[in-house]
Amino acid sequence: MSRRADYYDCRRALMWLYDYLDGEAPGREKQYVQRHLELCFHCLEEYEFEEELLKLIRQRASKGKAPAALKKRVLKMLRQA
Amino acid sequence: MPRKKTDKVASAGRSSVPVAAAPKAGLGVDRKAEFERLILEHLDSAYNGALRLTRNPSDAEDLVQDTIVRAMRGFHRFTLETNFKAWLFKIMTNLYINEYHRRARAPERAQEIEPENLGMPAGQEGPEKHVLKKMEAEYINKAIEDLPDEFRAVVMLSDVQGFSYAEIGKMIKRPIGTVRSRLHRGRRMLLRRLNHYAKEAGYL
Repeated sequence: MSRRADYYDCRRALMWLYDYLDGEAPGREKQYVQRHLELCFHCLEEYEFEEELLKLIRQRASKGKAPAALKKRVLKMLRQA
Repeated sequence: MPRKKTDKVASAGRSSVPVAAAPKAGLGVDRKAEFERLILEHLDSAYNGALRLTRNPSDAEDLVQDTIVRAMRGFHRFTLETNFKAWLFKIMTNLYINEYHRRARAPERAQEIEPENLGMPAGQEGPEKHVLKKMEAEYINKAIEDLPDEFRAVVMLSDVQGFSYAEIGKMIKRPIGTVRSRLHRGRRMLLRRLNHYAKEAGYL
């Protein structure tokens, strides 16, 4: 059983924060970040900020449709092939 | 009984022929319809991705069309167990890296962060949370455009399109560690740019 004191390294938690957010952190590090965020308010804020940012990028930057002219050309190309 | 991955029409007459040996131009009617359906389903995200890569609407249209031509040629090798979008983006990313990249105009500013902070998040440098919410799509897109090529590609593939590190690694033909470090550094650069725009726009 690990002690609370084992989870106080902000540097280690931040090092894996992006991986954690991306669902890519290996098991041990995932657990570390999770525990650390329960203990460290500063890093929790950091986490929330980054989470917000990633959500925002996803929402804002993925908008936009292919131009109608492109769609038309593509369809024509596909049907001639 | 193992199920064949070819479509029914194409495999009906020559069920013993391996998929890969199918003649290049010979997509069956069903298979052609399937391809068209998949392309239409992913056309918007493909165009969006192409636009982030090329930073130019007319290059983006060219890239999408070239990508579709290649995809069509390779579609006889594609099986529905694979993620079509990932497969399409792999073709597109490679095409971009190998051909379009050479046309790139502006010299890249690859190194702009201090090594000790590589890939570590640092929200304090970025805009405040409440400011972030006000950030228009325009600024976010501009900030992505500002990223040097190798960072822009992974940020687009991950943060905009939602691919995994492993999928991106296959697309850019680099190990996962490289994807990880480029992505993390790219995000930090992005945050700096957003901060810059937030100040310019008077949010900060």
